[in-house]
Amino acid sequence: MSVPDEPRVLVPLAVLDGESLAPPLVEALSGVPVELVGYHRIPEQTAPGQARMQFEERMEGELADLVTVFEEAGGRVETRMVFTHEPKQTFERVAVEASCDAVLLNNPATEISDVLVPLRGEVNVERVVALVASVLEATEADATLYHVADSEDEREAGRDLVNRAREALVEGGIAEDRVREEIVVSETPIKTLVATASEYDLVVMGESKPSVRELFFGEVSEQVSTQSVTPALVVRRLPAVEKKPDAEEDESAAENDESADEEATEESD
Amino acid sequence: MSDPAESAPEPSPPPEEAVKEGVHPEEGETTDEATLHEGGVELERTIGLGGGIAIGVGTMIGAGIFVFPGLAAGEAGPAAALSFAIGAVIALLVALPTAELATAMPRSGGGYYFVSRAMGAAAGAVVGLSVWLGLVFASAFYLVGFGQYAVATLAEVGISFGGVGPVTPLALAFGALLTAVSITGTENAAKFQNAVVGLLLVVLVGFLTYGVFDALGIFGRETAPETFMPFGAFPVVTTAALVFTSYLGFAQVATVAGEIKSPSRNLPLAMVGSVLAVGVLYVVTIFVATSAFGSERLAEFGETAIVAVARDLLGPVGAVAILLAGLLATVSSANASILSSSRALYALSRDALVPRRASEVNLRWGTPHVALLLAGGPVLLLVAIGRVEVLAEVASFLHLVMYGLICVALVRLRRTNPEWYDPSFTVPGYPVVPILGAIASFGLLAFMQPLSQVVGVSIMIGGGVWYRVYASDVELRGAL
Repeated sequence: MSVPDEPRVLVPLAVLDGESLAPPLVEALSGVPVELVGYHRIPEQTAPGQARMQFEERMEGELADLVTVFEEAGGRVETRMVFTHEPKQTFERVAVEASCDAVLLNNPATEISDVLVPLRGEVNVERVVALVASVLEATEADATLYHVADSEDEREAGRDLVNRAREALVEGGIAEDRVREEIVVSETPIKTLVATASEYDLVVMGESKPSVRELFFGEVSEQVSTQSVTPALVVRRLPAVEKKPDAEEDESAAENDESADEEATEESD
Repeated sequence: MSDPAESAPEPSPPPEEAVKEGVHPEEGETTDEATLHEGGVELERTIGLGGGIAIGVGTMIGAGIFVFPGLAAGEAGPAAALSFAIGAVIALLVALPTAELATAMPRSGGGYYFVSRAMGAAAGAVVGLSVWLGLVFASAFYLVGFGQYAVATLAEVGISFGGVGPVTPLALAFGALLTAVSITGTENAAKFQNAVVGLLLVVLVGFLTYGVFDALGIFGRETAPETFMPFGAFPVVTTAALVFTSYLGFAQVATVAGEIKSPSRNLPLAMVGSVLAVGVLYVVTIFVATSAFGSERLAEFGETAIVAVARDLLGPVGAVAILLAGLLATVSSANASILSSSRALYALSRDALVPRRASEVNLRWGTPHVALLLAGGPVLLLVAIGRVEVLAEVASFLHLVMYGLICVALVRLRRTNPEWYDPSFTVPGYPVVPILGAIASFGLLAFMQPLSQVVGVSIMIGGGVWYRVYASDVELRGAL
C-alpha cells in the first residue's frame, strides 16, 4: 500500500453565522491544500443574488481574515463564496469541481494531540491514510487506527486492515511510536464509535456512500461528528473511479486526469 | 439612495473580446448548477424541474378551477370552456418567447429583466413596478377566493353565518399570516408547495375523470343540455380576459430563473408544461361543471361552484375533498404570488430603479422583510376592498402588458442580435408566434371592464412617473 498524492480538503464555513475554525484545526490542515468555502444559507423567500448584494463584502472580509490565518500557519488555501438554499448540494458540487478528497465536519477543538482513525473496509483506506499522514506531519499528534468488529470472528480481519494502514503510515515516514492500534467488538458499532470519538480531538474517516450529500444527510461520519462534538475529516469516495486492488498507480493517474479535465472545462466555459 | 456602485453606469465591455458566447456580460456566468460571478462568488441553483412546474402550476391552479368556473359560466355559458382555451392559447404564445428569453438570460427578475435589457430602463421600470403590483392584485384575488372556501368549509361543518359570511376577515387574517410566515422564514415551504401541488393534481384528475364520464352519459344520468354560446361570441372573449388570471403562473417560473437547475432544459419545460397542464384541466373543469348543472345555476353558486359540482357528482365526500383542495390551492397561489412580488422588487432594486433598501435582507431570518411587507401590505388593503372580478382583471391587465412587451423584446433582441444573446431554446415559428403573442396580449386588454382598464393604466402611469422622478439617470448593465 502506498500513499497517493496529497489530498485536498474542502472546508465549508458559515462565516456570516459566526462559524469559525479552531486554530489547532488550521494547523492540522496546514500540510494539505484547502478549498475554503464561505457559504451562507438563505431561505427560499430570498434570491441568492439578494443575499449576495447585501452580504458579499462582509463575507469577503471574514474569508480574507481566515486566509491570513491559514497562510500564517503555512497552509495553502483557495476560497470561494456561495449563497445557497441548500448547503449540502453546494458542498457536493464544490467537492467535485475542486477535486476535493475530503470534507471537514467542523467542531470546536482546543488542541489536536489524539487523532482517531476508524477503518471499516477496503474503500478509501489509501486516501484516509494519506490524509492522516499529512495531519500528523503538520502536528505533534498521535493517531489511533481503530476498528469496530461486529463479532469476535471478525476481529482478525479488522486487525489485518489496521495493520496494513499502519504499515502504509510508517512507510510514509511517520514514526512508529505515533501510531497506535485498537480493535474492539461491539454490537452497536456506531454508538461505540461515537463514545470513542468524543475522547479524541479529531476523527479522520472514510465515507461509506458515494456522495457528500448523503453523508451530510446522516451518514455514519456525520453522526459521529455531531454526537461526539469532535471535528471530523471525511474522505470522499470519489465516484466513477474503478478500484482494483493492485492498480493504485493507475488510479492516482486517473484522478489526475480527471482534475485536469475539470480545469480544462472551467477554462473553456 | 442606493449604493453608487450599483447605480453608476459601468463602462460597457469592448464587445469583441470580453463578451463570451451565450453569457450575458456583467451578469455572471451560467452553469447547470450555479451562477458564477467575479471575485469567486457563486449563487447555487437549487430548484429542479419538478420544483419549477410546481411553482407554475401552484400559482395558476388556485384561480382557474376553484374560483372562476361559476363566474365564467355565468358570463359566457358553456362556451366559458372556450374562453379558457383562448386563454391557454394566448398563454402559450407568450410562454414560448418567455422561455427563449429565460434560457438566454437565466436571472432572477423574469419578465422585468427581459424587457429592461431589451427595451431600456424606462420600459423596465414600468413593467417591473406593474408586475410587483400585478402580483399584489393577483394575491389579493386568491386570498378572497380562499376566504370564500374557508366560509364554505365552516358551513360544511355546521358553522353558518348566514349571508356571505366573514369572507373578508378570514382572507385578511390569512394574508397577514402568510406575510408573517414568509418574513420569519419557513423551512421547507417549497417541499410543502410541491406536495400540495402533487396532491391537488391527483384529486383533480380523479374528480374530473369521473366528471367527464358522467357528462358523456356513461353513468346514465341526465346532463343539462344547453346552447353552447347562450350570450353570443363577445362574452366569450371578455370572459377570456377575465379568466386570464388563471394563466399568470408561468411567468413566475421566470422570476426564479436564476435559481433553476440546468436552466436551458428546465425553464422551457416548466413554463410550457405548466401552461399545458393547467389549460387542459381548466377546459375539462368547465365542461364537467356546465354539464352537471347548466351555466345559470352554476353562476348562482359563485366562487365555490366547483364544490357544488363535486357534491352533485360524488356526494358529501367529494364536496369536502374539493373544499380542502380549494383551501390549499388558493393559499398556495396567494403565497407564491407574494413571494414572486417580493422577487420583482428585488430585481428592481438590484438595478437601482427602486431604493436598495426595498430588497434588504435581515440577518436574523435571512428574508427580505421590506420587500415582503411591500408585497403583503398592499395585498391586505386590496383584500379589504374585496371585488374579485376587478382584482383578477387588474392582475391580468398588468401581466398582459408585460407579456406583450416580452414578445416585443424577443423580436427586438433577435433583430439586433447582440453577441451575448444565445438562447438554448428558440421559439418555434418565429416571428409569427411572438408577433401573435404580442397582438393577443395587447388585444385582450380591450375586452376588460373599464374600471380594470383605468386602474391598470393608472398603475402604469404611476410607474412611468416614478421612473422620471426617481430613476431617470439609471443606466442598466448589459442593456441593449
